Amino acid sequence: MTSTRASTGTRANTALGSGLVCYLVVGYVIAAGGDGYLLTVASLAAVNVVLAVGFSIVYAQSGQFSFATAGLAAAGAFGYAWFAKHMPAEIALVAAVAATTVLGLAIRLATIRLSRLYFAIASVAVGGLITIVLVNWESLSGGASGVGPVPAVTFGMVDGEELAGVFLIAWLLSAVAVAAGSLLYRSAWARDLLVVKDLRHIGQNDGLPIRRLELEAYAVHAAFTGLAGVMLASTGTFISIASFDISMALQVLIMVVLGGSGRVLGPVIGAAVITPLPEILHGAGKWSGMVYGITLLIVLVALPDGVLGLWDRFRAWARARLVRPGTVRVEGGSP
Amino acid sequence: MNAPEVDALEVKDVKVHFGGVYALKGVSLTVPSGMCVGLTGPNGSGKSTLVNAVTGVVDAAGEVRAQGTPLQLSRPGRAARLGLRRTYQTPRVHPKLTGIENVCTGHRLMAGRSASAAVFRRMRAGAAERDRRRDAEAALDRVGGSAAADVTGAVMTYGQRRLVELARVLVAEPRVLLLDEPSAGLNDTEVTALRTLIADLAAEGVGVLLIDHRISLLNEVCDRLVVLEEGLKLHEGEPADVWRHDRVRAAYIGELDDAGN
Repeated sequence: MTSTRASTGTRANTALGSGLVCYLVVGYVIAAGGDGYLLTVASLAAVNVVLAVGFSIVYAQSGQFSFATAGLAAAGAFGYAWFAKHMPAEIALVAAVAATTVLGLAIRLATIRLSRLYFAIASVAVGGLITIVLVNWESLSGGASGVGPVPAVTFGMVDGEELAGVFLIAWLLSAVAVAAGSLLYRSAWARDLLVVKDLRHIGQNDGLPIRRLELEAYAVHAAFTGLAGVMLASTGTFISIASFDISMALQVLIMVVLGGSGRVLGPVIGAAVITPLPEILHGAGKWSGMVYGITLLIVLVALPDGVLGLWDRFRAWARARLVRPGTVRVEGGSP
Repeated sequence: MNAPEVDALEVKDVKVHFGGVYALKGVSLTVPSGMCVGLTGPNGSGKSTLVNAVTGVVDAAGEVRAQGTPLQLSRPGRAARLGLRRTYQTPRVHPKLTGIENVCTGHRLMAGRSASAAVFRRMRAGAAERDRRRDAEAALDRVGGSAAADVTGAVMTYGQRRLVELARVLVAEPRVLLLDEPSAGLNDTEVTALRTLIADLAAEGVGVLLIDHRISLLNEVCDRLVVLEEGLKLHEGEPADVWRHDRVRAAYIGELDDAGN
């Protein structure tokens, strides 16, 4: 048994490793050959990957519906812009992510007694509140007109004035987030979260620290969302509060539902599919909004468990067709 | 381990009502450590409600002590801190987790079960997880549920779900154990194994409250029986005496009549 499990873990690490290598190669190819338009869309995809992975953990794994995504991302972005005026960009990145995490924890602590539905509603208000505070805190956000230029995160490896280099760093950061997300998804912690989500009372009576687990999941969501905000500010040179509205939370929700849950690949697929969709649908002209909506509706109805669910069903089907000796399990239990 | 002098579970005058309907009208009972007390009675007599009251699943009034410590009622999770675990009338396992994984979630070892440990302290988290898996395998083996180790909850048989749930509470090494119809859905071999298991647990000093409809199981494994009817204690005593009691017989025959109507 032990050897099988060890090899399962190794296989997962190998999959993660090779997946990350592919991910980085794609990023490098885009950086080397892409024009400004492609780089902009790909930067947005990197941001969305980080947003989706963070939201997937708090929503799909722990069952907390948070609409505060835009507020937290704005906190990360403007926090970074402010910190970057006073310290090197790399330290500003860490500080902004830390600040967003603390903000997220404070939000969740203040609302910890609310039931899930009421927390979802409260999170809309909280997200809006952050935006209102930011828009009126002009020294931090530049008010309605925004702040800029914001220095890019370069780690001293690329030219901060060059779009391809700045994009590459954002892509690298999203790869780090995916790796962290993968480790989180495969952990005993994520397993406990599933119980918190689906068998709350049972978990409580089995001694699981429900609230600590929920807080941690929310902190992870806040940290990832803060990082995404930093990446937006870093790749965008100029940021304005107008880019952080409720539609950001909706878009991330769609990515997570479309991609599927249970492992980090789901939100990555979701972000990769949804980000370029409006660009592709540009050809539909004034109908693009409607086509976007209808496309989403069809996809969500056709794939209730997302792309991952479709893949898993296909695998189960293929396995049932190609039964290998030794894979049949003797069922016990019924008389 | 010797049974301590303190009772595993003390229930005093516990009342539960759903609107104007009283499901429990003031029930008291005691489960001494190292003993198995059977709780029986017709359907709707309040057996499961009592377990739900003790574990905070339903709001209740009254006094409950676990391991001698007073328990705050109506707060799920409080009883767990005092070493009390329960199973459910309908077995509850997570459909997406395998048998082993389900059992692991019941383990008390919390090391390596935080987000930061998952990313930054992977070696230690891995070591703790190996310990949990080892104990989970042993617990599954003990209840005879090893066949469900690698099966996800969604495709387990009903009996497997029962056994996995039982292993999930046993892996926590409870001092007080409330079993809600553990034999339902099990075959004869599994019931025999369950009987041995409950007797062993009591011998280890665990206080067991057993709800069940199998009279043979109750008679063989319980030191005392408590019979409930319509939210009140009807009778309490040695298993052999209880069934001779007229009102107990009437309650059971009454139940048959109701079912027949």
